[in-house]
Amino acid sequence: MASPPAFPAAVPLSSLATGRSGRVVAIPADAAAALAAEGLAAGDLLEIETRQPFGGPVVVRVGHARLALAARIARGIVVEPLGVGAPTR
Amino acid sequence: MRHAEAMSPQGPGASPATPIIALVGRPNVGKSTFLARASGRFAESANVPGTTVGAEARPVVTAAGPAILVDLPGTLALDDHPTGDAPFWQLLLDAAPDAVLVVADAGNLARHLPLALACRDLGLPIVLAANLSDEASARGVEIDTGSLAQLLVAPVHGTVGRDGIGVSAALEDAVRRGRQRVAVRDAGASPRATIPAAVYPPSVEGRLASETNHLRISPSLGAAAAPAAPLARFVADGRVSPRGAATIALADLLAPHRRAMAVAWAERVERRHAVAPALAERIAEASVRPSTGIPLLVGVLAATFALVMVGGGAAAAGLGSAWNAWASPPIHAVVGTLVPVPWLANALLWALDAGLLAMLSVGLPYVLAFYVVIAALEDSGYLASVTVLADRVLGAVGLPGRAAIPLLVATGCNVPAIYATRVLATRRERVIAAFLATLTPCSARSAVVIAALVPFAGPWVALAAFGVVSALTVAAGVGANALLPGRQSPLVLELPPFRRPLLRSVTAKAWFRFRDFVRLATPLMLVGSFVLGLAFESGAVHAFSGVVAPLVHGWLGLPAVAGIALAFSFLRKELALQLLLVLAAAEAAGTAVVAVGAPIALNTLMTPSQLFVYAVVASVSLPCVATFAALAGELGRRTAVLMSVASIALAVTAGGMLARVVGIA
Repeated sequence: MASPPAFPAAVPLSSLATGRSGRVVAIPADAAAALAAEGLAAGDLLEIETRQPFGGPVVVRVGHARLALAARIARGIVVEPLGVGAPTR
Repeated sequence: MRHAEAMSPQGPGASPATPIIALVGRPNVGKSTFLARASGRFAESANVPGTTVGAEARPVVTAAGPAILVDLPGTLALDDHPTGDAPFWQLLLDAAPDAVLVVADAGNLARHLPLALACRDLGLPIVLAANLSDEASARGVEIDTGSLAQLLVAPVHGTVGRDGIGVSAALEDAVRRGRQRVAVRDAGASPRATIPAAVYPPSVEGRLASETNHLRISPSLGAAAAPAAPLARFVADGRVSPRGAATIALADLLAPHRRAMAVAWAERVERRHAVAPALAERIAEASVRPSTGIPLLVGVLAATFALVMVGGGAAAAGLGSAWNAWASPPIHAVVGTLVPVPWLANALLWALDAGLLAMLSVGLPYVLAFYVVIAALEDSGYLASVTVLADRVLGAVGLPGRAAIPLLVATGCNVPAIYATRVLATRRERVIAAFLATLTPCSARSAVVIAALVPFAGPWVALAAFGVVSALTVAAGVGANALLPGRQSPLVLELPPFRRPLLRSVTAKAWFRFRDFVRLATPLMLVGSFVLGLAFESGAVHAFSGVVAPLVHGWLGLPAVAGIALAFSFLRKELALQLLLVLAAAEAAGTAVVAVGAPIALNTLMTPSQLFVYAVVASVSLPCVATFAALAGELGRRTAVLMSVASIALAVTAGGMLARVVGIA
C-alpha cells in the first residue's frame, strides 16, 4: 500500500515509534467500519502508547480513549508523524 | 432466534400504560451497573466490553411511576451486530421502547454522542446519562450538562452508576418522557417528533426525505408482499417513524455528520483542566507494556490459582470433615431407617451422602472461590489488558486476544465459558474458542488432577499433567485453526480504565453464577451418583468394565474399573475423582459399601504412572453433560457431538501414547 503523494511524510502507524504522535491520514478500507465504530477516523490525532512484541497489537491513545489495534490493522493505517512528544490528550 | 424469549418485556402481567425504557450505550460504559443501581440488583456486568449478551427486562418503580427497564447489549452503533446475528436497531425496536436512556462516558463524549444522536434520530424520546463522571473528573474533564441538554434537545444528567449518583434523576426523566409518549399513543395521536426538524446539511436532509417517503409508502405494500423487511415492519407497527427508519437505512451517510457534530459539541461542553495521571491510569498503562505487563500477568495468574487451590483446598478439607462428623451419620441413620432394602439404601447413600459431599467439597470451595476472583478481575478492567497481551499468542490458534476471556473463564467452569464465546465476532472463532474451552481444565478437573496426583504421585507429576493437557489444547487449537476455513478478525478494542472492583458487585456476580452452577449441577450430581450406585450395588458395573477393558486396560494401561469412573465423569467431571476414590475404597475393603470418612488410598488401585495417565485422559476427554448442553445450545447439537468425539479421540490417542511413554502399557 503506497502512501498518498499529498502526504510525503506519511508512514504506516506500525512504524511510528512508541511515544510518538501522528495524525491519521488514511484508514484501510476493510477495517474502516470497525475503526469508525471505535471512533477512529482520518484526521484524528493519536499517540503510540505501547506495542506488543512479535507482531502483537499496538495500543494507541485517541483523545481520552485507549485503543488496542492488531498489527495487521496498524500496518494499514497511514499517519503523518508530528513532533516528538506532541500532546494528544 | 435466540432473542425471541428474552425480547418480550411486556409479559401478560405488565400494564400497557407502563412505559418501556431501553438502556443503550457503548460497551463498557457501565450500563449494567447503572441498571443494577436503578433496579436494586447487580446484573452480570464486567469491566470488559461485551458482558451483557442478551436483553434483560426488569420492572422498576420510580418517583415518576412504574416502568420496565430493558438492558440491551453494549453496541458501537445502531447498525452494529453486538450479539453476532441481528443488528442492534432490531434488538432495540423489538423491545418496543417508549424512551431511550443513553448511557455515555462523560469523559469521552466525542466517542459516545454519535450513538445518542442516532437514537434521537429514531424519533424516540431520549435522556442522556453522562456516566462515569467521577472518572472524568479524575482525568480533569467536567461536563456542562445544561449546554449539552440545549444542544441535544433532551435532558442530560451527570451520573456515577457505581455510587448511584444521578441515576434516579436520569431514570425518572426517562420514565416521564416515556409516559408522555405512551399517553399520546393511547390517545390515538401519532407521537410528536422529539427532535429538531432539520439536523443535517440540506443535501443529506434531501436524501433522508426521499427515503422517508419511500418507507412511508412501502409498509402498505409490505403487508401484501410478505415477508416485509424488518425495517418496514417496524414502521408499519408504529414502533419507529418513517423518518426514524430512514435514518437507519442511511446510517452510513449520516455517520460522518453525527461524528462531526459530536466532536464539535464535546468541544463546547467540556471544561478541561490538567491533572496528574491517576494511579489507576499508570497501572493500566503498565499492564499492557510488555516489560511490566507480562510479569504482571504471570503474577496474577499464579496468585489466582494459588488462592483458589490453597484457599479452596483448605475449605474443601474443612467441609469434608465437618460433613463426615455432622451430616453423614444422620443421613445414614435416616436412609437406613426409611429404606429397609439394603441395596436401594446403599444406592441412595451414593447420592445423598457421597454425591452431596462431592458437590459441597468441590463446588463450594473451588468454583465459588474462582468465581469471586474472576469477578474481581472482570470489574477491575484487567481482562482487557489480558486480551492485548494474549492477542499474539492466541493468534497462533486462529483466535483474537479477546478469546482470552472465555478461556480464562473456562478454568473456572466450562459452561459460562461457552456462553462467554459470544464476545467473539465470527462463528469460526466461537467454535475454536468453545472447543479449546472444553479442553481447558475447569476447577473440577483441576481438582481431579491435583487431588489424584499431588498426594499419590507428587506435585511435579501434577504439574507435568497440566503441561501435557495444555500442550494437547494448543495442538487441538492449531489443528482446528488449520481445518476450519477462514481466518481470524483482527483486534480492534477499546481498553477500559482501571476501576477498583466494587465488593457488592463482585460478590453479587459470583453468587449469581454460583447459584446457576449449583442449580444445573446438583440434580445431575444426585441422579448420576444414584445411577452409578445402582449399577455398583447390582453388580452391573463389572459387566461394564468388561466391555471397556480392551480400551481402558489394553490401550491405556489402566485397571478396567477406572473406565467406569471415566465414563461416568460425563455426568460431572469431579466424579472422575470421587468415583475413583469410591472404587479404591471398595477395592480396599472388598465391599461395595462406601466408607466416605475413611482415608482412601488411591494408590491401592493405581500406580503413580497410571494415575498420571488417568488424570490426563479424564481432563481432556469429553466435556461434562452440562458443558455438552451449553455447547449444543450455543453452537448446535452437531457441533457439540463433533467436539465431544474429537475430545475423546484426542484423550484416548494421547493417553495411549503416554501410557507407552511411562511404561504401563
